[in-house]
Amino acid sequence: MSSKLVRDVMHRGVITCWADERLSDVTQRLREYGISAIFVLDASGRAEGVVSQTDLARAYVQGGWEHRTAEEIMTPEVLTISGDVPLDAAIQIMLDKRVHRLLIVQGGRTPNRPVGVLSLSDIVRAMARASEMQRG
Amino acid sequence: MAAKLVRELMRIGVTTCQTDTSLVEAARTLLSQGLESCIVLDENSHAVGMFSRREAVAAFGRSGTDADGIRSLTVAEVMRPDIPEVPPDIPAPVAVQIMLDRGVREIYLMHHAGGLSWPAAALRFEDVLRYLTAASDAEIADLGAGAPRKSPLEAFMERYSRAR
Repeated sequence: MSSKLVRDVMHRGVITCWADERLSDVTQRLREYGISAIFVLDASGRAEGVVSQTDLARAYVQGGWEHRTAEEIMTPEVLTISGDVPLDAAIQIMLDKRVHRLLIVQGGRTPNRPVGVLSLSDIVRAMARASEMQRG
Repeated sequence: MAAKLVRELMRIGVTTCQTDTSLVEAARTLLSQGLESCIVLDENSHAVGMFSRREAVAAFGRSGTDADGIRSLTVAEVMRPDIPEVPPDIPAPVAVQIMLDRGVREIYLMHHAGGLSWPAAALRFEDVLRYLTAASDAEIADLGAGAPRKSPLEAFMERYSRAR
């Protein structure tokens, strides 16, 4: 298990929204996909931020929630990591930075192309699976 | 429009585990029920802490992602002893601010009596967001103190059938 890499555990595919999307639409998408955060793309398709349940809750407390856009409330810092990084290093980053997810990017012809997400849920699921496999 | 109160958006009934529950079993419960956290009870059913996905991941990281090391851990060894708590009769935005300040996505309504504490209900970010996007109150009829819920006998029978 100690040799596991991020790509062995992450889930593929990234759910996104546009920077100018209304929060009501963003929240509907979170519910539709059963996820707790969505990555915000700029006009060029680059991930420029993330809107999480926490960001939405903060917007609710501030008021005027329904008239605001993703860009206005997103956390602008998107933490990215390669799928080839050891899982325990990724866990350390998530704990140190107190984030629930990392965006997985791939190099190659299109550098920094988002290919997946590593979330706390993915890690907990991997932990449960690893324990089950050893027992079985 | 007046803000909803916590008691109108909370979920009655809280998932719990025992201090000697294995970390892996508790983590599976969180995943299967789509929860961020659960409350840890001691042998007197007194709430002594909270176990969340973050504690599970931290323990996994400390063990060097070693499955053997993880399997031997119990919830008592990794839980956080402070349970974030709110009263039911405050406005939901105030409760959400408390959750933001405490860095949690679920917060609990606790009963305290006879020196014991136990969880009665929980408020979750997810449910607040459901309320915000609900087209009508019918969509959130499962939330709040007035939500229909199983009788203790029905709940027992359901647990009994699951265990068989």
